[in-house]
Amino acid sequence: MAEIGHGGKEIRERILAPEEAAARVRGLPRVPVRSQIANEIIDIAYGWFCPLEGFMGKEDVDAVCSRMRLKDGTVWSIPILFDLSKEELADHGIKKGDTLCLTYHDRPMAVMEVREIYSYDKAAICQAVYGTTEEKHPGCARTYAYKDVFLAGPVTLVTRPVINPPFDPYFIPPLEMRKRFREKGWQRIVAHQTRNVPHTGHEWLMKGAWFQTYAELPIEKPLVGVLVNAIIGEKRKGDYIDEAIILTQDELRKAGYFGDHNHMTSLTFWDMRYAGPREAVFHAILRTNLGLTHHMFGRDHAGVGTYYGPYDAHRLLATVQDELAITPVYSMNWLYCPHCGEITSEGLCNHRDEWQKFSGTVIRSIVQDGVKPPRLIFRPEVFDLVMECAEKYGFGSPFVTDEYLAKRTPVFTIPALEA
Amino acid sequence: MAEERYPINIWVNEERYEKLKAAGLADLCEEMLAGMKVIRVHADEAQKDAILRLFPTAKFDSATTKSIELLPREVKDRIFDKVVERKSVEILGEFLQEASR
Ligand SMILES: [Zn+2]
Repeated sequence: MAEIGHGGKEIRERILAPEEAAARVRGLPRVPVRSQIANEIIDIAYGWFCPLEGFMGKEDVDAVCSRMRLKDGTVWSIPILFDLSKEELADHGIKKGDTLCLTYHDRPMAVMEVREIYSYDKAAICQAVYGTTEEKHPGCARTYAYKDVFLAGPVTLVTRPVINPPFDPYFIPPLEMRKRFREKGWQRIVAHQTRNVPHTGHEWLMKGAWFQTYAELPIEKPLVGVLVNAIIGEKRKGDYIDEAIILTQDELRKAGYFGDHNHMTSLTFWDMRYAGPREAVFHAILRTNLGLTHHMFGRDHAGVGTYYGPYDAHRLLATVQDELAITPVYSMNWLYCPHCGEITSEGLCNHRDEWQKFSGTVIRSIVQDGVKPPRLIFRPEVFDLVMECAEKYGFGSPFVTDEYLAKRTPVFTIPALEA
Repeated sequence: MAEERYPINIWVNEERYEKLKAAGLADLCEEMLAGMKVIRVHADEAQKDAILRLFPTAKFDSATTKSIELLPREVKDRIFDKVVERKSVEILGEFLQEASR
């Protein structure tokens, strides 16, 4: 059965068979790539980025910037670029028509056919995608950090990456994910985008979205699931460590706050651009390819600072809704109301003067102090697991430190090719 | 008009609560977030700036709670001990003097 992804195109994995890989890379110029590019190669090869088969050419970038589309008209919101410096280009003698062996940590990872070599005005990309050219916007900073020359062309993995523990069970690429959804019998699946350890405000975001998604479906059998899709990419100091994020999200299922019948956790490799509205459209595309039917969007989805209004993303999604195969589910904030004595939605409870809102910073401060919060706020199983992760993976801290960045086990490694 | 003051939240677990009770200070505890016990040590504008300078990991949560968060755990421990020692939450001036020495 063909698996149809974003833009109506079939999802096909771009991965060489083990027996042909070694011969395919022999004699090719070897070009090392950094983690962002390695992440995006995986996304292309497994179909997270369907219909892309490789890094974008100039016409596609033009169309993405000016019309939020690929040149063929398919909705696409963020340029996917492969960059090199002029020196690298000269050193390797790379020209159009060449095939490159892209290496990651000195191991062959992928082959790339160079179809186009071009340069592009980075400030123009920033203005179009992020709505600003300010360097302090993290997406702009990432754009300005690209080297001077862009290469376009299809990429194919020469080997499957090895996902290291504890992440291995959570790497579920689009074709496999769709199979799992069928096995579960879910008719609708709603995506929860996260880079957080969950407090009960997050838990209720998911529960609320589950109700919204269930809607008119019959209730005799479980037909709706929540997929937590954690974004794994570049870490900043002070973020929760990746291990704590993925394991605590799954703990909500294991500890029974959800169950196998309605909850699953997985990861997507992506370095957040904080593009707000355009990132929301991008997340919708990623999760369409993963086989989801619905996607949660809260206020200021994937925003940063004060660049975007709280509902800008919702409005932009509405402009392309007819062309997306995923339905947005909009979430209001959840909070603790001492009068109600429960977690409630700001759209429901009217004891406004008594509301105790969740602050991510305050919750992190509680976790940092190692003081266990009430179970209404933070599940004890989740808290214990955060503390365990701090010891086991975080060098004593649940938050990213210099030591963690230097010594952590990578999420994935590229295995050596068999000769 | 009274000058605006910004709290540092010292979260109170069982162990800290026992110490406070022993010192006759249990009344200092307030409750926030579904009964989470907390002692609030207040900083004025200048003290807030001094703390953020002295402890770069700390963050002023300007959006939700107007509180100073993410101080290192041992700093919180020292502030807590000072509160118990002086039997008062008005200890930040003295604490900062000692900390910046
Ligand atoms: Zn209420």
